Amino acid sequence: MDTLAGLAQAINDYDAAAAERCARQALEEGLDPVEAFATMTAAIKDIGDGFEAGTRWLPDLIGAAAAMQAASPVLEEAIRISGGKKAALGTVVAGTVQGDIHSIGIEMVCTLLIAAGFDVHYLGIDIPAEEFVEAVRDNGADIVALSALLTVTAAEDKKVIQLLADAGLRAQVKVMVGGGAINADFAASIGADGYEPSAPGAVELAKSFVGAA
Amino acid sequence: MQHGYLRRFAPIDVLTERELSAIHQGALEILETCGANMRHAKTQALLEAAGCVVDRSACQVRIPPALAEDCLRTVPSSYQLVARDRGMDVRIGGDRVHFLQGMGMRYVDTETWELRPATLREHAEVQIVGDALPNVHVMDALFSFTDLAGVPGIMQQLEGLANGFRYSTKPQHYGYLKDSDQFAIRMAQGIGVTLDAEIDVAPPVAFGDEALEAIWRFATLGWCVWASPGGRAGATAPGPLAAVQVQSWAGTMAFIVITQLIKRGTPVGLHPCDGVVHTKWAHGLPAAPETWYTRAMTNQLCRRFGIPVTTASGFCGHAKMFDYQAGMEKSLGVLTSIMTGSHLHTLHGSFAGELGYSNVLQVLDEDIAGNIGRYLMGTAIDDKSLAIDEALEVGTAPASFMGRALTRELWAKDRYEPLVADWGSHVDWVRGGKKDVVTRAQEKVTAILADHTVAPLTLEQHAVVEDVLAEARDYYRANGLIADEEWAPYMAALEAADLP
Repeated sequence: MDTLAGLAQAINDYDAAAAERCARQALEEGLDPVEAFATMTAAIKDIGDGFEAGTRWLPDLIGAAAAMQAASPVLEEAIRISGGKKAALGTVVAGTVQGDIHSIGIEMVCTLLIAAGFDVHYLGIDIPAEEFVEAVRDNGADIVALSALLTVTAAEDKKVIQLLADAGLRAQVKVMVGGGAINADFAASIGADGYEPSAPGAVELAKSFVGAA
Repeated sequence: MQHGYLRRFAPIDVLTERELSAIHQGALEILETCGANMRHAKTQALLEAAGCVVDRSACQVRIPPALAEDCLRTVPSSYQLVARDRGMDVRIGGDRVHFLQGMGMRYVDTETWELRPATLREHAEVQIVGDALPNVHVMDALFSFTDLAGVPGIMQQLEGLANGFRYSTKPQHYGYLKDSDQFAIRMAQGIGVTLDAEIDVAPPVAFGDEALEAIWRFATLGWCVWASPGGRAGATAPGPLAAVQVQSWAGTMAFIVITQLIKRGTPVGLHPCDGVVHTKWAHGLPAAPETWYTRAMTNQLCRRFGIPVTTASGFCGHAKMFDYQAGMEKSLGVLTSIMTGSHLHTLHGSFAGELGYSNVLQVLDEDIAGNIGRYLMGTAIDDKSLAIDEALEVGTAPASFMGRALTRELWAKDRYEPLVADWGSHVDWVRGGKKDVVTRAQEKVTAILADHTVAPLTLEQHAVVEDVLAEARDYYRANGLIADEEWAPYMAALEAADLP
């Protein structure tokens, strides 16, 4: 098995250590890091397709995403040094807003976005609004995805949007919101660009933002 | 072998040991003092030779308790049904739970909720769908649609069984009707399978000649016979539920004595049809709580004496549509029976107090069976399943177990996924067109009929089926059970059957 096939297999086996090892080996062999990254993206897309078809499960997707995340820094650094650019549908900054520690829903969205071909920067849970703004700026994000499951934290969505405007970033980034505390009326009232209650629907919404739907 | 579901925990007891003994002793007293009613000379002679007191003028046979208890001891605690695909064999008994197709007279039109005779093709399609459903372990081809358009009554069981053999590789269940069991047995022997037979004990404690002829035929072969006592509280049995149990157990004990004297070790199952009747109209109520409790007592009696029990608690319900009432009646009936120890449960497709049968309902019932089956499987308690190391490694929130290898391992194989029940989100339901469960089941039936392939009979097996059917037609035509005016429509129905 050649190294890139091994890299794809590691994603398919949810083997983070093997994925990272294959990524380093690919670079040692002088392989194109952009091509190596595309190999991982194709492998996780296959798993995403299986998830859609009902032959794979959410833990499969998360396991594959974890393997990909283990190898990504190695390849991303090589891509940066080479001046190349990895192929992606778009760049997404995502996280659960401050005061809220629910993670499974937003992680599901991130995993499906990765499987769909987005470059995802997941910030985690209980994230202050300022950190979202900083991440959008640093990564040149096309989309910011905010999750809030508690009614008391939904107002944080509005704060992020306000700070993005204050930083002059609002025009470059689409804001999508979701989570149990949110509905379409609330999303419209705070000036979000889109609301989606389901994880697969969030992927379609993100695709529509970047003209890939 | 289809292993069905292994019940990981002890069934629920609804009676104490003293109460069980009281029911058993009451049944023995009835058999010794009043006896069982039968006029079948060959059976009377068999019982008399074994020590029973036979009053031929009254057709009463009094059975000594010692003989009854001796015969009870030689009934096997389980039996095996051989299918034409040996991978589909089942062993009924022990802590295993299996499901059997239900029974109904007529086709249910889900647009109008009217009932009408089924066509032979519709009957065949029921067998195909049953063959495809993993929780239908035993087929009941003869009783699914007992009103087949154009087919004379006497031939319906045999035509049904033939369709069952043609369109399913799973084991088949049979009954009896004016010697039809002799043809069914020959068909089964020619194909290389066994049948079990459901045979009535007419309440209170009486045996018809046809029933006894069938018992002789099946027991001689050592094939399982199900005693089917049907006493109803206040009608064909005394009013109290305990008395219903005594009557049914007396009939069952008499049944056991007969089978064991014909051939020791013949498997006997108990298929109770007893219970309560409607308080106004006096028809049977298979889905009433009193009937369910009666089944629970029966199940415990059978467990106590090591007899396989094949119950039909709540199998058809009384609902007139596939609605909340239908689901409630079927689910509660099945669950209460299985939790109290039944082995083979009649379920899939039956409707409206046995008046109707539906392929759509057969698919809906698959989810009842699957849910209950998964519940019975429970969970292992060991180091791996307790996962203490896993918990310590992952720690507390916001960490999650979603991406863990142990989760991946168990997610697909340890979780029940419904066939048609919608467990998705409300958003997805709206976006999917707001389909109700009956619509989804109809779509599943269509998909199964388009995709499922049943291994065909061999040419030799096919010839056996056709030859036996032809011989049965001649037999019943010769003795007048197929009338001349029935013959032409019958042949026309076969010609137009358009079987799959």
